[in-house]
Amino acid sequence: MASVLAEFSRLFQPTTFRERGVRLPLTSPVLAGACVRAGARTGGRDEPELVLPNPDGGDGFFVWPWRDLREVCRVSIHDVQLMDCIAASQPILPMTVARAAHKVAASGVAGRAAMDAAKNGAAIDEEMVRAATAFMLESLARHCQTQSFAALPEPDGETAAVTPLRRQMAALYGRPSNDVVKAIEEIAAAISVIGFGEQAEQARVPRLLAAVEALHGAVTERLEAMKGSRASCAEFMATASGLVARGARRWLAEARARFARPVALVAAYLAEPEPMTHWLQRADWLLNGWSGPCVRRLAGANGQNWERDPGDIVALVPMLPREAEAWLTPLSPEEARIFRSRPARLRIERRSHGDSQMLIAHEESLRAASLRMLGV
Amino acid sequence: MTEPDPSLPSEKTRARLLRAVAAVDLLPVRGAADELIAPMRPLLAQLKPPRPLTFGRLMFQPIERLIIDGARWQPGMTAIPRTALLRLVQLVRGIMGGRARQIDAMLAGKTLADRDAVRRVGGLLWPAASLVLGSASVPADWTQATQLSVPDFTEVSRGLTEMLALSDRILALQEDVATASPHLENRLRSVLAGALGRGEQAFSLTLALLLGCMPGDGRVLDIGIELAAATADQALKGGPNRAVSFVFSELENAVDTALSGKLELGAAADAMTAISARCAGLQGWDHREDWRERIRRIRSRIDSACRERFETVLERQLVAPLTHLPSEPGADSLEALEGIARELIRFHQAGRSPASARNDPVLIQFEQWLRTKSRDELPLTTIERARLIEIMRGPEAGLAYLREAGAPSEAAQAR
Repeated sequence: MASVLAEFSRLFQPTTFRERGVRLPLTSPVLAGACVRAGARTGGRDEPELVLPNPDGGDGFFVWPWRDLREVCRVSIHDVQLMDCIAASQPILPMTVARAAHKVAASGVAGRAAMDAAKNGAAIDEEMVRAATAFMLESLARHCQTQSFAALPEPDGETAAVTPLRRQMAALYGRPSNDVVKAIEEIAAAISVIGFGEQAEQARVPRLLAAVEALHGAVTERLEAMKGSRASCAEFMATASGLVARGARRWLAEARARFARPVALVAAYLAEPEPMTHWLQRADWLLNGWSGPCVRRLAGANGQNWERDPGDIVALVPMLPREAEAWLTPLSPEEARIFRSRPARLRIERRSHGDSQMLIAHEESLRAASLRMLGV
Repeated sequence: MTEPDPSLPSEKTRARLLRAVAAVDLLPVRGAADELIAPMRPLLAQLKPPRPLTFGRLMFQPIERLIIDGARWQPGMTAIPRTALLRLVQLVRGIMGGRARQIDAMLAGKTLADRDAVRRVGGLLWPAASLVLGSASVPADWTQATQLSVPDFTEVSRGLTEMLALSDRILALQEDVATASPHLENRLRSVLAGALGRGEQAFSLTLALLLGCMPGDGRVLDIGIELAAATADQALKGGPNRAVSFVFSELENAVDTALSGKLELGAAADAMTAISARCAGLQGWDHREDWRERIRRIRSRIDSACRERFETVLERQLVAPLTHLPSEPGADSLEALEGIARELIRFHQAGRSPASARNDPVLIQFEQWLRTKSRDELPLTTIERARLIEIMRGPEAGLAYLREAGAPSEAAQAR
């Protein structure tokens, strides 16, 4: 079929997170486990394409341009709106996808419960960004007050309205004030998701990280009691969650230490914006996709449902690309092995419209729970 | 048409019902207690409580499909009336004496899900019970205990005697079906030939049982007809017709139960899906004109009754509550109505082809109703209407409505 760009080989191992894509919180059963990534560039924009696990439950992944996929399968209104929103809000990153997902859920297309949870989450996110920006500006203003500037740059046509602080910041870093503001905005956005101050643990990354750690603890505790294929699934989930949690926790500690010195952080960003941008996104990428397995455990009766068939959750564990190895070193032999193994695969059955609607309702309830409990 | 009491399926009621069934299961003589739970049987089939493996349950396990409600049983029917079971078990237990108590001990703590116990202990019980029942006289309290006549005892006990003698082989055949064994056809032929050798009643009962166990497998009826045709006995030649009549009557009864309102809508949808699959399995049953006519009648009944219940529920449980929503409906009431819409569409599609289901004029009319009602008449937002259209008519219809209603897309807002 012309729409299929490629069927990845049995040993498909994405090199980077961008190649793997961002896990999508979709509600259509046929798109379970899908990731989105930047595809062909047309009209100055990246066409989103979906990386889908083999729906037959076999090896390999399929890559479909989003606009073609809609022609061959029935996709819920929520999913159509989310993908259209992602296509319009580039680049395709965990943060932009999360924002798009919040926005679409807040419109009500995934039901009232998801709408209420998303609206509440969006308000918290906005408040976090505002507070983080204020914190950055306040820190820089305090620092500028301690400096004596020989001469502030004259306002030019574009920056005629800039405040004295912006001119001071431009003088401090020897860069146009717009560059400094852009750096502050990007860093503030990153701080808002990792949290700071008294509300730090309410931010998206710490909440999701705590859920992954709880999942790791719960699975590890039950490992010995499990046998056969359930045991190998549980072992995989325990190792993968432990590895990701360890990497994200390490990054979080480092990030919080760096964010405590915003002046130096802005300087580092302005000196090398690209590596700093990648570094800022690291925890978001590491934890991306884990809300699915976590919320399925949390939403289960007494948290025990996953034990009956851990394969259902394991199939949703996001794949780690080779890029992550460098972030997570040192790896034990068992941890290194999980980069190359997948003990459970998704198998998507063909269903009637009526049965699909029941599954969509279930996904919507998980979506609401994820937004409520994990903020993502 | 009576709709189910919405309070019936609540968690509390289910838990209470399961506790009651567990208590009844442990009674040595169930009698009146059994009658108490009789009206709940459709719901119990849906709840699937774990059933302890008792002497009586094991005795009838391989032929469970032949058991029907006493009120439906008629002399000459290829079935065993439920009202006779308790008295027959008591009769067999009484004659077996100490051996029955040994079997009780072997079954202690086991459930019906324990296939090994069913096979092992059943292998001891069934031949012994067959021998005992074959020579038993009619109990003095038979009519009082079972509401059946004395000649009925002869018919029921004779049929059961034959089936108990074949139970071991029938169970093995059922396991072959479950494992898709390559020896299935040979075993099938051997079981049916064995039943034929035991007489007309054994043959038609076994054939009826296997037609129920293996719906859609044309070999059962073909082999049955072939074996019957090869005999000179006119009664044996009539075996396939009696067996097929029983399957038809079971199917008609299943349709009545599914559509009676005793089942929740979701359970009724499951039942209709199963019935549709069974109907599809009747495709090759075109050996006789009266069979073809009966299949046509069953299909027509499914179609009209499904439509009738769908329209009734749509009107009473969806359209009417939507019309009476307060101006600012709460999340709970909207979610509940969406839940009903989902169950309703599953039920709607269970008995029909996807194309005819999609283009049903009633659904199109419902979509039009949602589209055209003003906000005062129907206090739903555009998105809430689009979701109901999506559930009932599919995402394409929901998106088309959103476009036509001029709802700003998220993509446009993001830009």
